[in-house]
Amino acid sequence: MQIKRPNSSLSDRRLPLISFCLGTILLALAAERLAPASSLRELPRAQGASQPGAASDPFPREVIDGSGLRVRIASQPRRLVSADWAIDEFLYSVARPERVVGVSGNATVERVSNVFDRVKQFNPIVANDAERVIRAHPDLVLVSSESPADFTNLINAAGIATYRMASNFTSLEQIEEAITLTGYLTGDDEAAASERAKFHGARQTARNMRPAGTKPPRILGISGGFTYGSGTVFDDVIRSIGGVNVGAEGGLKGYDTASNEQIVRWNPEWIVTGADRGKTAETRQRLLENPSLAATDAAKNGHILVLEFRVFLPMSPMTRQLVTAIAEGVYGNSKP
Amino acid sequence: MNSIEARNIAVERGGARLVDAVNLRIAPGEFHILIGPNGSGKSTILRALAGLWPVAAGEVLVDGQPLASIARRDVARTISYVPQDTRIDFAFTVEEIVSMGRFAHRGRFERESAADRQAVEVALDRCDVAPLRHRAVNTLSGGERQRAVIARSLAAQARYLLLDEPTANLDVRHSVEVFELCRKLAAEGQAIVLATHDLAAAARYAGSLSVVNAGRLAITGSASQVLTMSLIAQVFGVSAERLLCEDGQPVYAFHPLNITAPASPAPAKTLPSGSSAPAP
Amino acid sequence: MATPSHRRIGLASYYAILVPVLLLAAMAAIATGSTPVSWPTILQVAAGKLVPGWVSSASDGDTVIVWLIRIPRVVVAGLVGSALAVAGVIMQSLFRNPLAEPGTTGAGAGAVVGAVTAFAFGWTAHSSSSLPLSAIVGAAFALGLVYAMATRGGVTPVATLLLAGIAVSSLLVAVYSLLISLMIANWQSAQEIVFWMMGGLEARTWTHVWLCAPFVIAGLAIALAQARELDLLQQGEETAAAFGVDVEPAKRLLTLTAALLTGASVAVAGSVGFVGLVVPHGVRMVLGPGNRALLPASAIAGAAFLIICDLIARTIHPPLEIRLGVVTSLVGGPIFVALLLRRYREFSAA
Repeated sequence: MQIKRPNSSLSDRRLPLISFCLGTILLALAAERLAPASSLRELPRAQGASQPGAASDPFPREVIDGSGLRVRIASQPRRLVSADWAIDEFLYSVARPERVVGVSGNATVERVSNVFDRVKQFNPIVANDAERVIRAHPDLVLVSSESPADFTNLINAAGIATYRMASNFTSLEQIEEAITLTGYLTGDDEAAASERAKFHGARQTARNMRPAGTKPPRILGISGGFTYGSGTVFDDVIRSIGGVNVGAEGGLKGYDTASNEQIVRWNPEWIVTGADRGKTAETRQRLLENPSLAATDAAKNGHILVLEFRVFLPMSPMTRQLVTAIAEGVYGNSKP
Repeated sequence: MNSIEARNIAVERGGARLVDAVNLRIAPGEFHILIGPNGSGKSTILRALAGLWPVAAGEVLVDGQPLASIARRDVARTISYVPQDTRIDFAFTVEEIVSMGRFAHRGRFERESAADRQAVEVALDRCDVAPLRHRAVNTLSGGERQRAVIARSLAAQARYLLLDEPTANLDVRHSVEVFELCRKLAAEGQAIVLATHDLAAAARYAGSLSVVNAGRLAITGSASQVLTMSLIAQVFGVSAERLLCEDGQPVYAFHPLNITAPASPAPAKTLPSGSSAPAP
Repeated sequence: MATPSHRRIGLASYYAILVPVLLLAAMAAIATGSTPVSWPTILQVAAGKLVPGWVSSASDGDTVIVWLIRIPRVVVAGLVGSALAVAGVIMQSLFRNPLAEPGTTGAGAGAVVGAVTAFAFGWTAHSSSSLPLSAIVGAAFALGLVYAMATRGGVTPVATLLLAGIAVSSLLVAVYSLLISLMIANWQSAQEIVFWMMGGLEARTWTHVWLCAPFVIAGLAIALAQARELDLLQQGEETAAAFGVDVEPAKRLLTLTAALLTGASVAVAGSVGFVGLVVPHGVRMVLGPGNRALLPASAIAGAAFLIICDLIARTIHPPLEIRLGVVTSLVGGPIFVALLLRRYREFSAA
């Protein structure tokens, strides 16, 4: 009869738990540290991407991407892959369609894709799977800045360059810069320049559509209970065409919630929203009949603009379609 | 001084004092039975003796050492407790169950030794469950399960065996067998403490008895000392008739009370041998 | 009436069947993917990596696909499957209920909270290990909560542990639902989280293997070392104490182990249900409830089960990958219902 067992209570509860939690954390950190060099390690973090160089720069071109990684593009990439909805449209707007060998899943969905016709014709792979991307033998893979590291690490390990593009644009100017950047990456600087000019031109045209001497129209954009405050692409679109973004006027920053009550209080002159292809008229009808919106000037005057989802709102070169569509809807007398 | 001893113990559970001022000492070779009505505290005393429930006052001593200072594993080699609840939802075979009784005898990674095997065989035999050894325990009848569970405790080869209502589900033959087995084990040198509400069996088999009532030991002594008519009436609420068998063993028959019991418990007195039950 | 013990098969026969099944499943899983890879190529890559001095003739792309995508994926599937199965065995023994599940420790929900936090703060874009690490921390936190709630005076009754586990799980589900709803504006991220939560092994690579392997192996070893304690605990805490088990420390260690195994699994694979419920049950029917045999046997069976489910997830509707949790539910759910019915029938017949 030997060992003494102490009679514990409080220390019994807390100490083992704390040590377990700490131990778990330490063990997990140690496990990660011990991962052999051949497995995938973290990307170094740095302060944001570099500006693209001049159009005349010869290949190889070096840039720093959105996660601080130095990306070296040896020669003009023949085969391009995009793993993000918006980036699909960037690629197709600067490069010849046969060079795009991989697109995001959304590009293949007709009702939301602005590039569906080209996807249908040239049949790129869907880039949701690292294996498939590697098999497509691309020279450059463009991903969004939020893309998980697992995916890009695998692609890099196969020797394929990836570039993380910041895709959370907050202004039209940023989109225009991204067009130039895309052209720089793919070696299509001229195409990019002309696309940028087209984009800028659309903004100009839209601004000029406003009849002289009229007040700036007060426009509100809504999308599933959310609206667009200051510092969003939509805000920039509205300001571009000479209107007032009611969301920003109401003090909202970024993409934020807006209840019907707030909308009534703001009393916009125009309401803009998106809907599935083929459902735009129905959605417009529903909004007109919405009793809580009925008090707004927009509803009373039938000033509700419902655009297809692929127009509202892509955050890509196709955003110029949105600019044009809103301008035409508000200033022109074309049927919404 | 080999014995298992409770010194003035009290046990509290959920704020209530279940037993109080219990003094008990059982040495190897003794067959001691705790009797009392349901809820009187018999199981509590057994659990305290086994070290499963802590005592709020007093102490339990095993072979002179305080139980609280002994490691669980060593306790298990010395004291074996057979619980009342024999429910097992899993399909362990009887043999597997019984060999688990050897837990305290084996190191963590040790294989079964010859001593282990032998203890298991003896236990299976003793409790008459050897023919059931490959049966799944959750397919046995209540009585068979009870015997398997007793065999499990026997396999531990502990000096002190505590059994909590072991005959609750047994038919008369097996009930008698369990008591006979306990008597035999006591004769072989084990100390047995058994809780039951089977007065008749207790009267017949016990070497010594304790009557437990409302958490206290009303009285401790031999069967004839303890089982007085007034005590039985007071504690159990029945009137008893003491009869003698041909072999001289006393047997009790119980009838409903139709007289009021005396106000205070009568002191222990010896019944003249050969006499029939005194008039109430 | 045939008794369960007669339905049992010997350990040797069990392993003779199951080990080949595991190996075949693993081989089929490695050979299958969204693009074709031939067996000679696979062998070349494997030899190049494992045999010192061998120069592989496979291309870079092939090597990445076989060595960094397919093989680690199968290894993770095996580790997670065995971890969940063993956690299930522990839970079922501790709670004396053949239908208990690893999720009841609350560790699974805690891991999801950790993972959602990592998504919400954008850590996943920076490193592969941020999500699993956050998940493991979340699991540890949840377990701490459960234990603190259920322990009184140094004693943790198993019934209270169960209730506390369920309560904490529900609470944490509410927490991560809140987190997701706050991020829902960024629907791309929200979609990613919801998909992750349904379980899946896409893009799992050696980092994930190293992150979960230590926990899984440690968990298996601890569980095996406590096999006899588990056997006794299955017969009741009082019985276990009476036979010499230090019940409170054993329960603590076993609950911790189950939580560790569950947390590590969710960390690398998301929420995958039914493995911890159905696999131990099936193996128990065939090998009996003795934990010494049941634990390793369940580990192997769990590994095979999950590898096969992952294979189904990838091949049943290409190019779409069905979420792994969905497949295990679709496969395990009917099995679970069948087990319930049979238990009910046995119960009412008894």
